[in-house]
This record gives sequence, C-alpha cells and structure tokens, in this order.
Amino acid sequence: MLNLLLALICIQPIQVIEYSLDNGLRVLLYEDHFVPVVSTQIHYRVGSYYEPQGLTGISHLLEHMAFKGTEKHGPKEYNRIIEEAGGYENGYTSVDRTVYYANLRSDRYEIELDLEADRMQNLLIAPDDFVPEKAVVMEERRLRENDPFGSLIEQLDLMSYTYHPYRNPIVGFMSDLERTTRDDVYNWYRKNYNPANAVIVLAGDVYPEEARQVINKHFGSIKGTPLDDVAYSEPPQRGERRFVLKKQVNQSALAIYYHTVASDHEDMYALDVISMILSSGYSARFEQELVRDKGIATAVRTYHQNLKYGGGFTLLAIPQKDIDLEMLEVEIYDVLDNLKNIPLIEAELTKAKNKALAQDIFRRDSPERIGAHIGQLEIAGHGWESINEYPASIQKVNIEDVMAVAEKYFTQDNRTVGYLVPTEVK
Amino acid sequence: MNKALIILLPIFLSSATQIQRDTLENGLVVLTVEAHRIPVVEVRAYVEAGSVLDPAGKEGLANLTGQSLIRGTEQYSYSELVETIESVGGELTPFVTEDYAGLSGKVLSKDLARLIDILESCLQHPEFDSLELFRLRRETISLINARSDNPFEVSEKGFRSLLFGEHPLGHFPEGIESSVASITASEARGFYDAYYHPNNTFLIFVGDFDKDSLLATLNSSFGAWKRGEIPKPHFTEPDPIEHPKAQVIPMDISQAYILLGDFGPRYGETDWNATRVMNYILGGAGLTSRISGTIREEKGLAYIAYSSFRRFVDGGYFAAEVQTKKEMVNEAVAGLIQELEKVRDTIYVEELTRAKKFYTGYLPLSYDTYSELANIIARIEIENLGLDYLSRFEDYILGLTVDDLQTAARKYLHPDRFYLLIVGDISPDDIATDGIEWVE
Repeated sequence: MLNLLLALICIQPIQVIEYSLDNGLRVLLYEDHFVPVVSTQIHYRVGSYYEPQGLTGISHLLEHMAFKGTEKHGPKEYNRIIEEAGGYENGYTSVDRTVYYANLRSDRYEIELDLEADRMQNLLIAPDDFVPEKAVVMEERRLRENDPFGSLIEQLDLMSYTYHPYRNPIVGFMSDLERTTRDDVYNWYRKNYNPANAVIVLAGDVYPEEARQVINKHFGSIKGTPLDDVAYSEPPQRGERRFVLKKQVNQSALAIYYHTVASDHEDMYALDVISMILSSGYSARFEQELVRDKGIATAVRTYHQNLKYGGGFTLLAIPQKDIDLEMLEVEIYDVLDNLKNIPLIEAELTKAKNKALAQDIFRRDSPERIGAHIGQLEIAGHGWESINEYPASIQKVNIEDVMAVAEKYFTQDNRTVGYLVPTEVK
Repeated sequence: MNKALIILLPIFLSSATQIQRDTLENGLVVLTVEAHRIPVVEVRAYVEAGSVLDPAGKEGLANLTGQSLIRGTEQYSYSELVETIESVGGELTPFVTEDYAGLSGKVLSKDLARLIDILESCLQHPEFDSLELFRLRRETISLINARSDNPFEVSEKGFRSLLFGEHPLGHFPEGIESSVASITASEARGFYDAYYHPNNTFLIFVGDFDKDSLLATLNSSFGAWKRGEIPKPHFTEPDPIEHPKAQVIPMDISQAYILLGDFGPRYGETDWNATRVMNYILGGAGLTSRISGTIREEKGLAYIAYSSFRRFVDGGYFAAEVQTKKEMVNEAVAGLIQELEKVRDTIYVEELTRAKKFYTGYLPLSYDTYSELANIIARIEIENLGLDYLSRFEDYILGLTVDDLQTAARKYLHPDRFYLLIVGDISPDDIATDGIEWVE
C-alpha cells in the first residue's frame, strides 16, 4: 500500500502542430476525435496590463464592441450565426490577453474562422452602438462593486502593486470608463487586433491538412504589424501594507497577497505544490487545521498566479462566527511558518504532486481547456510546449524546495493584508 | 462562406452515447458508458433523498445527512477516507439538491477499485458521529450567512419562498439557520435509515474501465446492501394566485435584482421540449433572446437579463430576471411583462427554425466531457427519458411546431398574475404597477 501511495503519476506529452503564416499569425492545432466538436479560439496579446493610464478597462470595452459587428455582419450577427449553427461562443478579457472562441460541431468550424477574420479587420465600433454598450459595461462594473469578495480582491491588487499595471481591474475604473471615447476604442482596436499580435488555436475533432487550408483562406491575406511588448516591473515591496474595506456585509473576510515570481521562474512549481498542500481538497492543511480542528475558519482558499511580468500568491479566508480577523490572521501565519520550519513527510509531498499531475490529466477531458492553456502559453512567449514541461518540473520539487520557497516569499515585509468588515449599524 | 455547411446533417453519434443500464438484485441501478479518451473514470451516486423530504422545522436535514456520508464510516475515519482518495489525486464530493443526495467524484482509472471501496463504505456504512455533525452544522450556518450577503442568492431564495411558501421547495437545500442549529446526529441517522436504500439509488460510471469487471466488483461490494421500504410523503400544492403578488427585500446595493415569474412544469411533463424551446426564444438564448434584445440591447437597462425554467421532481417554476439600476425598475418590470404578453401572442416560424438549428447542432457539445456525459445520463435516468434519448433527441426537436410552443407559453406565462420579487434599496411605493398584492 505504501508503495502505491508514493508512486507518481506518469503523463503522456501533448502533441500540437504549430506554424506561423507570413503575416506573423501563430497557429496551434490540437487533435482529439472523441466527440465531433472543435473549439476554435483566437487569442490577442492585449488586456488590462497593456492599457494606458486613464483608459483602464478599454480592452474589455473593446471586447464588448467586438460583438457589435462589421459592414458584413451587423450587431448581434456573430451571436446569431454561431447560435444558428448550434455552437457556443464567448469572449473574455484578462490581464494579458483577449480571447474569442466558439465550440462547434466539427463539420462547421469554418463558420467561426470566417467570423474571426472579419472581426480582426472590419469592426465598425459605430458611435450609435458605443454609447449604450458603454452603459452596459458600467452596469457590469456596478455589479462587481456589489460583490464583497470581488471588491476585497480588487482593493488588494491596488495595494500590492503601486506602479505596475497588474494593479488595475480588468473591467476598469468608473471614471476611466466615463472618459473613454469611441475613437479611443477604435484606435486601440486598429493597433492591437492584427495577425502578428494573435494566436489561433483549433482543438478537438480537427484534421491538420484541412485546417491549414481553411485558416490560410481566411487569414492569409491580412497584413500583420508586430508590436513591441512593454516590460513593467514593480519595485520590490519593503514592508507590510494593510487596509480595511467597509461594506454592508454580514460576513467579514481576510485577504493576503504575497509577491512571488513571473511565469518563467522555476520557483513557480514549488509554489504550485505549496498551494496544493495548503488548500486543495478536504485533506489540505488549512481545511484540516483551521476549518476542522480549530474551528476558526469557514474556508481558506489560495490562488497562485504567475504571469509574464510578475506573480503572486493570494489567500482569501472567511472566519467562523464570532472569530475575529486578527486571530484568524495569526493562525494563518502559523500554518505558513510550519511550512518553513518543519520538513514535510514524503507522503504529503507525493499527495500534493499527485494532485497537481491528476489535474493536468483531468484537463485533457476538454479540448477547449487545453486550447485555452496552450494559447495562453504562446501569448506569454513561453511557447505551447512548456505545457509538457510541467509534469517533470512538478516531479522534481523536493522537501527542501518547499521549505526554501516558503521562507523566501511568505515574509511580513512582502505581504499586503486586507480586512473586509461590516459597516457600523446606524 | 458556404451556407450549405449549416444545413442539418444527421449527427454522427460516437460511442460516447452508448449508455448501458444494469440493475443488481437488490434494485441498485448502474448506468455506464465506456470511453477511452483519458485514463480517468467519472463516478456519481444519486439517492432520492433531497431537501424536499426535510420535515417542517428541520429544513436542512437532508443536506446534513448527505454531507455526513464522507465524515466517517464504520470502516474509515473522515481523514482516512479523504486521504485514500486524495493521495492519488482523486476527488470525491458529497452533493445535496432538492431531489437527490449523493457523491460525485473522479479518479485515474488505475485507482477505480479504491474509489469504489470508499463509495461503498460511504453509502452503506456512514457513522453520523455527533462531533462531525456539530462541525457540519457550524460550516452550514456560515455558508448560509455568507450567501445572505450575495444579492443574487438573496433574490433566488426570496423568490422561491414567495412562490412556494411552506411547500418544501420554498427553501434551499442548506436550510435556514434556526432549523439547521437544531438538527442532531440521531435525526440524520433516522433520515438515512428511511431513504438510503439500494432500490432508491443509482450509480453512474463514465470513462476508462471494462464494464463486465466493473459489474462484478459492484456485485461483491454492494450486493449485501438490503432493499428497504421508501416512505413517500404527500405535498400540498400551493394555491394559484389571481392577482400579481410581490415582495421587496431591502438591501443597500447600487442595483435592483428583479425576478418575475410563476409556477412551471416539473420533471417528466410531456410538454418540456416545447417549453424549453419557447423559453429559448423568450429569454434563454444568451444575447439573441427577446428579453436580452429589448432589456439589454435596445434599452441598455441591464448587463444581465434572461429567463429560465427550474424543474424538480415535485414542482417547478419560471423566472425572468433582470439586474438594473433602481431608477429603471419600473421600466424593466414593464418590459418583462410586455415580453410575456408578446410571446403568448406571437412566435414566428423563423424563430422556431433558428431554435431548432441551435438545439440539434448543440447536442454533441452537451456531452463533450466525461463529467457532462455523466450529468446527462443522470437526467435521462431521473426523467426516465430512455437510453436512446440522445439519438432520438433530434427528432423530438425537429417535430415541434409553433402551436406547441404557443400552447406552452399560454400555459405557463401569465402577464396578469405573476409573482414579483425585488432586492435592493427600493420600496413598494416606487413600483408603478397597479393591482399588486404586497407581501411584507
């Protein structure tokens, strides 16, 4: 039994066909013929990170306007066409990319390629559509302000980054949204949506020869203009930062952010393992120690994110009834200090690695998720093939790595701490 | 673009839809699909022991019973249970809905025997330790509190309670704080003894296994589980209303959350396909539905505007939902009522044709992961749709007429006698609609 427990999972590498068109458009093809469905995705290297001061939220606003049509396809036509074909389509904007995708029966994925080629070149961003759509986005912004945990994390980002654009919310600040004009959005579109700034991914029931022809037909003749990437680096944090956020809530909460590393740094694997040890599953340390044994937390979640120009380890904790945040905070530091000071037993390390590796296999049940992941890696400049380095890098993490990485990043000077508390009752 | 591409072709049904159904001697039903995309098996156990069976004053009992399944058994402590599954990267989570309680999990195929062993222990031999139940009560009450800060949750809960009142569908599965606090371990044990029987349970396995050897394993691990009598409680149906009935739940938020609707079909109603396609046109179809078209696109009133039917074994309801600025509430409510009137009045053939294209094209997308396939199989079993449902689905949809949809719209949508719930910083005096009966 012990041998079984310690055995690590073995993973086959993912196969992807990759090439570029002359105009700079990167193409990734991932075959999986289990069901007759293809996920067609286009990733643009533009998001909140790239936005100029005073125009936060412009990439997300552009994503909204991208559904308002071209000369050839009027407003809502994108949705209508995909819907008529029985597809599922969506768009999303993140820190470093904007993605449009449609999952369709595999006999008709060309529909999406045709629409995306049109979207890349011919968006109108008509003034008549702009005003009401901006109002919709401002409603979305208000909706987020109503979400207490969302507001807490937004404030945490603002305090953790003083200069670096990772501080800005993707949806933007209200006054920036108010200020943004149709022409601002149009210029942002013309600059960023071009083949040299994009990656196309086809994942699922796709055959490479046919895909190559269809992609060439729709995208081959579009002119590409490579854009310079801009590197910002946040000055090192030298001292703890703290804040209190008051809202009309019943449930208080605590959030902590530690600066870590960008996505090309090898420490991120040990940080992934730490995240598994701390908060993945019922047997994780926070769940066992703070939720069950001590009964002081309802939940403690950790999010570990490594982006191209920086990364962070976020903790969000919800206290049990009548437990104050100060006490919960101290207990959390105790758990983190144990990681630094007491060596893990081998079985706990193996369990954490098995979890990370099993998640990697579970993800392969969805070509859409594999497609999103390799697209993201390509956009960040790491190359899709780094997806296959992940299992071996996780397997290499040892007990000393975990202690050293915990010691290096989980320090008082490197953290920002936020309290969400109820407003005083009048 | 070649338009011929999107004419309707017969769907190629992959092995993904070869569902098999076996029944063990004690009545335990086993549904399987063998698939070999990844070396993983997705597992579900469903027991018809959901929150509609909560006794009055014990709202939350079904949930605490179901959540207890993994909190320790005669064979394993809670820590041993979770360690056994998680040490190999697997997952096993209890769930409790209005109708069913059970477990949902996945594991690499090499570890399936380990998962079945744990599943058997959880379903047949749970312990109901009082310390564990104390912890569960505390966690549940915290969850109820956290949800009370989320206006979306508050509005759904308020609407359910406005419609169903004392009927057990009037509360969420997690129950209410005061009743949860009163539930004991022996009450959970009693609930378990009443409803957790093999003849009230079905299992689903999707993925990388051999069915014959799976059945042999299940026969030996679940064979000794004894059949039992299943109590069938009787529910008093809420009376239909004659005038609109409304309620405001005050909350200090910048928007108003509006729900407007009525009772709807339960599981198994024969007009469900007509009803869902009608709703797709009305408010179910993302950005292209009528409600989204007028409320969001034309009037710019809201970021979110849609309608849906929620169905259960013992009832169901319809709700059109909008989140908007409080100054716009009257306009949004009037807009929703108008859409209900219009869809009762007219549905265009082109709209139906579009909806049919959507539903038939979408079919393979609805089971393109093991987990989605397991969920569809559960629905097929619960609604008794037949194992060939996925291959007959296209015919059902293509056979629908405008008349079928119109009939469903007139049966379920009532612009003159609806339930209305608004959450926000607003008072009933701000609402312009006449003839409303306000509930405190």
